[in-house]
Amino acid sequence: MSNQDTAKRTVYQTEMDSVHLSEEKANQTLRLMLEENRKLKTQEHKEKPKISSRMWTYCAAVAAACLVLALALPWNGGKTTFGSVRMSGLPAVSVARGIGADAPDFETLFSVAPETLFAGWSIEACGTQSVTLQGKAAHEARLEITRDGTDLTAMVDDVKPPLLTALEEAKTGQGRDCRLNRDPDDGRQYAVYQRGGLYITLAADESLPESDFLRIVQEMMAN
Amino acid sequence: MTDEELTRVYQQYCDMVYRIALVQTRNISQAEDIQQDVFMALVRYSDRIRDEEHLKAWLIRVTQNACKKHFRSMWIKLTVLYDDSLYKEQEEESGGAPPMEEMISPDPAEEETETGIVREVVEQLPENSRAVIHLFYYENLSVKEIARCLGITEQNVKTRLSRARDQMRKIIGERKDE
Repeated sequence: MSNQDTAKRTVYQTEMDSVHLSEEKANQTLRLMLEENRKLKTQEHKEKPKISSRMWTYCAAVAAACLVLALALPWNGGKTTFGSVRMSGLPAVSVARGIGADAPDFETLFSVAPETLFAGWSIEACGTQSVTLQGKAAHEARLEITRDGTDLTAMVDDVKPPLLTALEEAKTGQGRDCRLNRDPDDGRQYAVYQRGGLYITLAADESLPESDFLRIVQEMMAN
Repeated sequence: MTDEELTRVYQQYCDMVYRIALVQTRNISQAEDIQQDVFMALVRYSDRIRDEEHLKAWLIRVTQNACKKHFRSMWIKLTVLYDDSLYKEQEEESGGAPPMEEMISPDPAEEETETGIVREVVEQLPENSRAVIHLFYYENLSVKEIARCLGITEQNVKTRLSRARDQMRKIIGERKDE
């Protein structure tokens, strides 16, 4: 830099030194800054529970996903079959599996006219993939229906009569659609009835004599 | 940042930010608004500031960007860029600049006319040269620091400085001839 440049620089600096922000504007800006700072700090403080709440929601979602996955895993006990109706003295277990997009909506199906399916039975629980029916008989048998993605709608009205027939046939050992079996692990007896894409499993505790089991089923279906 | 830290930072740098904005906008009220925007941004992004050196560079850069944004705004294109009356009013309030004859003019009689001449000359420079000149000659930043603050290369800073000096010499020469 030349001497002249140095001189100019000094003059410029001196000139600019006299330039100050007005006190009024400075005070106003500082006040706004401090207000904003306090606002941000309050906001941060308030947001803490929100973050925590969000984390809980996330954890709950993950837990729910894990539960669904666990339920969707194949259950090889033979007591519940994919796409089945299960009746049991034991608490029913839903088996949620992937279903076709065109599968009927259970909720709609049973909420519209549950009585048309099984007269006297009430819906205990109803989801999009399964429904648990509670018989009004004295026993605590339950009927759980799951689906395999086939068109169940058209089959619903047809289920009861053929099932009764199939059970009668099973009792006499003549049935081809209905099999009576006993679980080798817990001794629970069950009848599997298949019609089209619908699988029905009727099950009862091992302590219940087979004849009683069939009678109960028939009573329930008759109600 | 705590309120005390913000207050200290503001008191230390408010004039620096204001001067940069004033040199760029050549308008007192706009420069005041820009400095306010810059410091409000500092409150929001204070957690990004690493140290004092970074703080100064950050303030200069944000001020520069705010000025650019200001120039880009449609509103400013439709208004008078230089409000001379406001500008002079501020000079009077601050008591005016020291006598220029000590620095440039040997003639005390020229004091009144020479006062603020360099600043006026700087303000006549193109927008991109004004910031470089101000940061170099007033804030005493090095070429490297200016390059970092403005986001341009060091060579670019040197070129702008050189061109600005030539332009200033030319403008001052023309004034003296007058």
